[in-house]
Amino acid sequence: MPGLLVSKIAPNLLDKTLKKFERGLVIITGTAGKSTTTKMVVAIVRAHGISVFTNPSTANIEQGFFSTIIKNGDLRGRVPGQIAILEMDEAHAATTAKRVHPRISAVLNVFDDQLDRFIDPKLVKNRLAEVTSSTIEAVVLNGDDQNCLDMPVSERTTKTFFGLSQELPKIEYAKTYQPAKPRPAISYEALKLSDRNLTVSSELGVQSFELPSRGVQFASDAVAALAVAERILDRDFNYDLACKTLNEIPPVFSRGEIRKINNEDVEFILIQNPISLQLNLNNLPYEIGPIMFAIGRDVHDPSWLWTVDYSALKRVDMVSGFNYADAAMVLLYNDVEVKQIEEDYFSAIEQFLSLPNDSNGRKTVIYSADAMRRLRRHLGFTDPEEVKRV
Amino acid sequence: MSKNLVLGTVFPDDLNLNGDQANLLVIQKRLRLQGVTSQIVEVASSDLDEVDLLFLGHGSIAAWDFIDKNHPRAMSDIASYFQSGKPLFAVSSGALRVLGQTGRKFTEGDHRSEFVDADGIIGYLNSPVQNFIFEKIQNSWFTLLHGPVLAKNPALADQICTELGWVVQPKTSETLLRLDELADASRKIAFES
Repeated sequence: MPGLLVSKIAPNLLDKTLKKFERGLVIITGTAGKSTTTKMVVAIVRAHGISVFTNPSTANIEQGFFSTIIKNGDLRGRVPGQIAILEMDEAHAATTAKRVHPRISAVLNVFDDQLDRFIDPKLVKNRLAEVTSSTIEAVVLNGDDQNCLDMPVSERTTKTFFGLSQELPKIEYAKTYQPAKPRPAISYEALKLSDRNLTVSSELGVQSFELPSRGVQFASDAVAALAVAERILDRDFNYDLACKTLNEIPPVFSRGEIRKINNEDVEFILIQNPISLQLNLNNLPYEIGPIMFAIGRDVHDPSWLWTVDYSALKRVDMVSGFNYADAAMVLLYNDVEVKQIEEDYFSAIEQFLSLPNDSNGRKTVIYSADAMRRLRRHLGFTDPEEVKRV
Repeated sequence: MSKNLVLGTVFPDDLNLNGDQANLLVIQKRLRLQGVTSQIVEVASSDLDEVDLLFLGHGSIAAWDFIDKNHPRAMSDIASYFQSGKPLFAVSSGALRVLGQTGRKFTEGDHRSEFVDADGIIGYLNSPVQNFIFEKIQNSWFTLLHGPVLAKNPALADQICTELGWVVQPKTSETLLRLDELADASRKIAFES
């Protein structure tokens, strides 16, 4: 709890720290894809020889920022780095942006999410609009998400858009109920996606590289990252180097991360909201081994589990986590075969890992953030950065 | 009962903000496990004659603006439907909208976002309304709770099916008993978080 403590005794420390970076502050926000996009942007900028201060994906709210500063900074709150590139939860992004005024911000998307906290999607959009209107130099936006098209910016702030071509699976963003606005000029567009191989088009040319994880959402993250990195680096931006960096970056932990456990590969898929669950279900491989579905304490109101289409999921071998009962009910009412329900999560993990796998596919764990943290601690995965590309 | 029951729903794509439409899925599956067939059908609010039970879900501010603008008679049509004695199950903003058509006034206070137990009906409340959580009026059920209320409250789902004369036999399906045990666990867990 050191982050909480410092936030109480030195509430202005965060603002002071974030204002000290010579190349300013970059905020990456939106409903989904913040961690992966931030990690991609940071890797590209570092590859260009610039030192970056960033936050781990588990620390994207204010207490987490304080913890990160304590870990990396001195007594005056000075932390090393020429630029701060931070992923921020939608509410904290708005609060911070109004106080610190980021040089660049990116709004990746708006989905119906965390409605127990935000109440209505309109209120989420209003918070994100506060981020863009507080940004000084450039705002990077999703050109396919109608919610992003009318985000306000100040007179001198530029807008840059990224997007997916029509050849890629369509992502359904939160409905605006407004007449559709025309698609803006797209600076970085994901043209084709074959398994993890992505082809990107921009004014700088067409490039192909391997994404760290499977799924159209990671293609969107990649084009967003390229657009943000170009805005940060301006004339120093090296497109070849940026794509090479994305070709080599490991997945953010639990976003399609594959680990060898008991001599067999196990894939870990973190789901944090309806869209990430839906896209990950849609992207499950045809050949798949035993599946564990674990919904933890972080899902305060499990109602959103019922907004998802489970038809891609025929069978789940183990259901567990703090919210095991709601997780099992939503599967059973959606006619998904549930083989075992285990209230004790650690027992569920051990039993699942011991299950025989006669298929040609991998064992797969689909879990929420709390279930992820408990599993990782249980299995001794302590360093989130220690994820290798497979 | 051999009739294929019609579980009607209006604006299902717009009034499903918290998985509310799953209430019909719960009724349909529970009926099926007791040998009663039903179909979930999207219906127009102006054409409710063939509906055996109508459901009204919960929508965003923008969704209700859209419905009010493009279907200005929808809520008064649904209010007339339930006031004529036909069965409606409405949740959250859907319930407020229909009851509002009957002249019902709601008082607002601090916004509450939490699980509540309203005389045994357990579910998630995300509203500033203070003077209403759950009521049965004529042959209709209204609740301020959102989401899959009937999954957590299978007794209410069964009460609806029994009062409408759809099922009379005791539950024998193992799946149904398993779902009821999970609902019991879910109701307890709701107050542990």
